[in-house]
Amino acid sequence: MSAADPNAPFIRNISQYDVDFVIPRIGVDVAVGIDPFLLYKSRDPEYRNLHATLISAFNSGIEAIRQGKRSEAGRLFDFPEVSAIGLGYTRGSKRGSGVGTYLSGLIIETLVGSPSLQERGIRHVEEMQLVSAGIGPDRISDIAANVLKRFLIQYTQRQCAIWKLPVKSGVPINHIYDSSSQDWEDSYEDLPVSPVDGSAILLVPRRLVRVLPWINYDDFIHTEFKAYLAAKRNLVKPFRRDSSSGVGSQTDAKSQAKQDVVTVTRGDIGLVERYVRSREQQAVDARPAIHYIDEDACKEAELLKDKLSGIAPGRESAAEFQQLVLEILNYLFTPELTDGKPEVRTLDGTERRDILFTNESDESFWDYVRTEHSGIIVMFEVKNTDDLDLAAINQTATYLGDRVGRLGVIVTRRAPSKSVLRKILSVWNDSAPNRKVILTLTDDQLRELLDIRCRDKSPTKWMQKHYREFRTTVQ
Amino acid sequence: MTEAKSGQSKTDAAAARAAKKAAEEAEEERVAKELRLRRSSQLEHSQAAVEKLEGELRATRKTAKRCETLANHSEGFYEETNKLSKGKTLVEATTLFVDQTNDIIRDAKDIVKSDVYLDRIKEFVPAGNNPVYPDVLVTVRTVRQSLGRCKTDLRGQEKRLIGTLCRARTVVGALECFLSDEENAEYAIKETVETFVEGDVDDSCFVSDAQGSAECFDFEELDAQTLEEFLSIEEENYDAENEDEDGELSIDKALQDLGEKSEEEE
Repeated sequence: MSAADPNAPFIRNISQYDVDFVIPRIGVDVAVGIDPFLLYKSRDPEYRNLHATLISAFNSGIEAIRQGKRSEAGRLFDFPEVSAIGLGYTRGSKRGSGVGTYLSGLIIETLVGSPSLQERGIRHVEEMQLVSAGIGPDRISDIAANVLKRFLIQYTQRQCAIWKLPVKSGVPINHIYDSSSQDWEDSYEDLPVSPVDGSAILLVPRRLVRVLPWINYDDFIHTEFKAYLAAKRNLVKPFRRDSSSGVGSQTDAKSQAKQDVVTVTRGDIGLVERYVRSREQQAVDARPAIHYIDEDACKEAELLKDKLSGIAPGRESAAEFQQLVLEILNYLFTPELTDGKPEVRTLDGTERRDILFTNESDESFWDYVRTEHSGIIVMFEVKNTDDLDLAAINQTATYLGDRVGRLGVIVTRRAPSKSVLRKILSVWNDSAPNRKVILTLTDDQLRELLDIRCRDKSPTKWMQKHYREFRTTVQ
Repeated sequence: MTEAKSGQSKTDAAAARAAKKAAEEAEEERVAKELRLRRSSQLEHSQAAVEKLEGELRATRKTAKRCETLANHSEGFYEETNKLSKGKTLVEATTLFVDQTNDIIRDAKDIVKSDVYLDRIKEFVPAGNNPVYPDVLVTVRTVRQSLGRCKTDLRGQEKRLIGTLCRARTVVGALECFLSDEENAEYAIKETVETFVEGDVDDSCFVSDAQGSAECFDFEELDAQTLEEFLSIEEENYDAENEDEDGELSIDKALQDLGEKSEEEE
């Protein structure tokens, strides 16, 4: 085990492309962090609630400071590093510095030194980077991981069930934030554990990670603060002098420069406010990171195609086919469609297998689908058959509605017959004014999509064309 | 005795003649009655045909007007789009452009029937991305071409309907003349028929009498066929005179369409 490559993924038999979460590495952190802004901009109410919880937790600490309850604030601002998520910027190790007691004190000191910040509170925890010299992107990720730990535990357990990952019962896990009591608690959970040290592993959704938070110090300096300096030329001099003094290391100079900046921002919180507002307006550009995926996309596409060819149509392989379709759809559409959840239910004695994705996309087509077909869920019904029948269409049509939206995709093995296509058209015609759209995806089309993705083209564009073809057919 | 016999036979002969005459008169009366009944029935049918043709003509004119208006609107839209899209070949059209283009396509499809090139045109489905300006232009251009063809067809259809209507009104006039109490009305002389018809009569419905002194309505021709046939034969003649160079017009089909449309309306 000691000779193992520290860069090796914790899960070996699944590609990073095919899953919804960031696969942790055995010996090192994946160089990304949780960006709370991605929770804020999410269309998923659960995620937006998580952001509200995070802000509420932080503002409770600020309120405690305002009331002079320093020890209470210290308890709330206790954010030790969550090494279980395996994310961070520490090279060659899985242990970062963590916020810890030192930074807890730093946060309190920052807030005490900024009455205007106490008065305003925060809209995003990332703002702390702009008012405190000691807080960087990694700390933001740590703060988020601490407050979101309960969610991360549940998410990890759900993903372990989907991907049949081994879990250990009763793994101790501490410092879980309870929003109702506004306190930290410890617990024992069923979680996967590290093969190196047996510690708990928490999986983080891919849609929540970025290299730098969307609201970050560097961007602030180059945008809002630069404009501020231009307007207040008298401040330019000391700023420049400090950053190019040549005394000490470059890091020292940068650190001193940041100290100067935060002195300004603590005094004029309007600067932070304006910057944050502008970033909120640009939210559509805040995309999750994907650069950390170092696997060969084409190799994975070929692998998926081989797997597809290896599964025979029929009820016996239905579960296997459903799992493969989930992998393929993750490969094709993450991070546009996220959190794919396979479901199995029995309707009229027939087993139904479908996969529900959350449509988190900012891509124009998925955005259109979300608005036009009322819902953030996109349903893929998986039918491992060569001969799709009318009953399948009826079932899908019945299932589409307020809960899962009105766009459904049936993934099946071969192109449907003319009578089935007619039925699909009649579903559209009969469902006015809230039209229901049923698209089909066959093996051949999945292969085509895999090739498109391999060429680094957009499978979403293909889906848009596919959708348009349906809509023009029904005209 | 001989005188008496002779007187008796004269009386019998006179009675026989009278009886024969009475029989002949009765027969004439029966024939005349039958003819009047037939003419009445023909009149009823002709009036119905006139009503149907008038309705069809109104509908055609209404469609032609809509076609004209849409052609005018699309022309302005096309020109403006063409101007505004200069140098924006790969820029997505605005939603207003797309909506208006779709309105034009939809309206055109409502007006123009059986145009394969227009049938191939579909409304844009933006699905998140509006079409680029060249696509909008090409599509509107195709629609305009189709509207142009439709305008020509409608003009031809209107002319044909006017001709048929004129002929049908002439038939109605002749029958009304026949059924009137006027002297020599059964001959339906052109000048007399004209007094029963609002507007012009169709000259081709009249033939010269034996003496060549007057033109009378050709009841013989009318009786020899159904009203539809009578009107359609003349439609064909009319059509031959007005036929396009490619000789594609079909009055039979026009009348068939007319019948179908009337059925639909009913």
